[in-house]
Amino acid sequence: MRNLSANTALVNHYIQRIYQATLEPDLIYDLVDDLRRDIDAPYGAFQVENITTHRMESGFLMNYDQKAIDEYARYYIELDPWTAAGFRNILSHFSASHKLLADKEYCHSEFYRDWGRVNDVRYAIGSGFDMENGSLFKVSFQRHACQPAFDEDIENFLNILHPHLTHFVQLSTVFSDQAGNASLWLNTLDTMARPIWILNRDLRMIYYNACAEEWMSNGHVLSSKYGHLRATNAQQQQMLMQLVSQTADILDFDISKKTRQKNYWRHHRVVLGHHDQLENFWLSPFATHEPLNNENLVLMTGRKPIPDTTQLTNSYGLTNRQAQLCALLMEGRALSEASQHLNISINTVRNVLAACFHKLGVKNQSELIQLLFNGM
Amino acid sequence: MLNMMRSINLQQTGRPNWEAFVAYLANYIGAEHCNYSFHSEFPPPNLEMTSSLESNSANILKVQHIVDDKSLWFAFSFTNPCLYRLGQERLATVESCVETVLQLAVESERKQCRQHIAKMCVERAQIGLLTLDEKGTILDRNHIIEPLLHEGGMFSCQQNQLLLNNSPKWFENQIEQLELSEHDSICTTLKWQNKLIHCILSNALPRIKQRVVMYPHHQKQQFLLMVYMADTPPSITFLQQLYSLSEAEALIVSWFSLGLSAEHVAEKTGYTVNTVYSYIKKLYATMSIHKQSQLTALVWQQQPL
Repeated sequence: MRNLSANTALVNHYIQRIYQATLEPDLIYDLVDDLRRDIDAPYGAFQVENITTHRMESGFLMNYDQKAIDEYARYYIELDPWTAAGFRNILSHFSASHKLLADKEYCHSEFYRDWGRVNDVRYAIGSGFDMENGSLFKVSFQRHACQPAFDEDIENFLNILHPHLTHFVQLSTVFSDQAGNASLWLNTLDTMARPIWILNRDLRMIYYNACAEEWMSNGHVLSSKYGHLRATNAQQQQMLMQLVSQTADILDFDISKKTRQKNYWRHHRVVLGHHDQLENFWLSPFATHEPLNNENLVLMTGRKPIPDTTQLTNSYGLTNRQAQLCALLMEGRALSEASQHLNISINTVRNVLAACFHKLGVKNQSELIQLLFNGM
Repeated sequence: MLNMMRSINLQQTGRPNWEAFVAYLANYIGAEHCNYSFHSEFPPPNLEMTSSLESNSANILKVQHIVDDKSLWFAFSFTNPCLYRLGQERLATVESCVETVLQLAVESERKQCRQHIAKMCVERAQIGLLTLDEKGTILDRNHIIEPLLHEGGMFSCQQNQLLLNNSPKWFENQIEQLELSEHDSICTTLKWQNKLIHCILSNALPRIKQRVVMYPHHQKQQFLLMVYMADTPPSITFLQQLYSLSEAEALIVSWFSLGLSAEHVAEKTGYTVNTVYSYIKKLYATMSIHKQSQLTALVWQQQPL
């Protein structure tokens, strides 16, 4: 007996994740995967069906055959009061839209086969229907009639999660339009190789990207404590605080004064770290906006790291040798040094370099280096 | 209940609609007036109290909710003492729902804030950024890209569809190449009005890409296109601070770091070739480097966002 339902930490963990997923519906995939693993429900024996988004207008409906669709609709209309009202009105779209699809791959997937066989589903919870957007969210843990029952423990466990998943289904439609494209930019910032922090005057970190997190976990120059940015020693901490505060002050200037315009884009340098490892960071005024609590915020960025060769081969389609050479050039080495380092003759280095130029369409080393740094 | 949940989210402003939420809640428990505040103390210093709240403090139901580090106060006022008791009971029944709603609202606000920041950072970046779907429809872009999209620019934008002006199939081909190669991104250099323009196309959702196989109709592909002109010099104030240079020196260095010859730099900046040489020599000595490529590497690594 695993005693899942008695494991409060696990239950709370899932409840928390369910509510997180409310804001980012994509998270539900991972959640359900993990859940399936935890209740040990292999495909075929017990099926835990993931959430699916059926967009009625654009025909994002799984490619069921007509019989399966009728069964599916019947099930929801007769058994699930929550969606019943919605389906009655839109049933005509529902059966028409499946014809738009011609995805054979899905037809052969486990999802399809399980659905198509028998539809006497024991567990199917949290279906939701949003008339305005024409979308349906469904999370269901289901077991077919011909299969043995879940353990009592698992049933209890699922029963605890049931109301929360229902909340998820109801709320995810409320929040679904929020996701939009802005989250794409968040992704973009996270893929940037350069660390980015957004700080307030107290050095509280309002935002930092994945690279900044890496910097802080190394802890050489900066670290984080209770959501605040920390420098290595008290003296630097004070200096950083002072500079951040000064930079934040720039935002307070009257717009009509010319000083603001001039100072606005100005970057202020701050040098942090130990004697043997000094790093430049740049501070600039960021924003004072209502969504950001009307605080004066400061943007802090650090240098770009030298990428490793696999990164270069992946991003620019360079060969291994070419990537090695490029990495050395980005470090600021001359060709002669590179030839020693790579243990090849200077002429070979030149040949490799020429291949890089050709591949990336640049004509000298400076342009190459610029391109590589800008692409990060 | 769903109305209450809906009311925490206003799509236009992107912030929870507290007024709608509180009004709904007040209506539900039968209160006449309701005030709310985000301050840790109640009554908050800046909130104007409605007259009934001040005069009839006996019939005020105060509720404090603490979600994360934020505390939210509600003060419901009742003219009728019977309703007061009823309100209390009703509030107790919706308590858990209110808790959930508040938690989500705070979470939603935090997410909005992050997205806002991301958008602002992207606006500030020195390179053009575009997000596109697999058909080349532009989803979002920053201002750097605008001049290239305008009439006579390198790209044109028809019905929000990105087109390269002298080869309409360009984007399709790029996507195809990206899919064929096993790399994360693909880099091309284009020439426009004698300027080199680098375009780097990458899959914006590499994590979700794998999922597409599993859930074919769920996620669309999204791509990120980075565009920048090879002749944009780094900012001068940054160079001045980094190497303690005068404005003139920094100007020369900024153009020189692009890989231009000394003659070209002289042309761009209006100084004589000899002046350019002497500044560069001086700088090389202080930085103890010997080559233009080394200068470029040092400058571009440090270039701020």
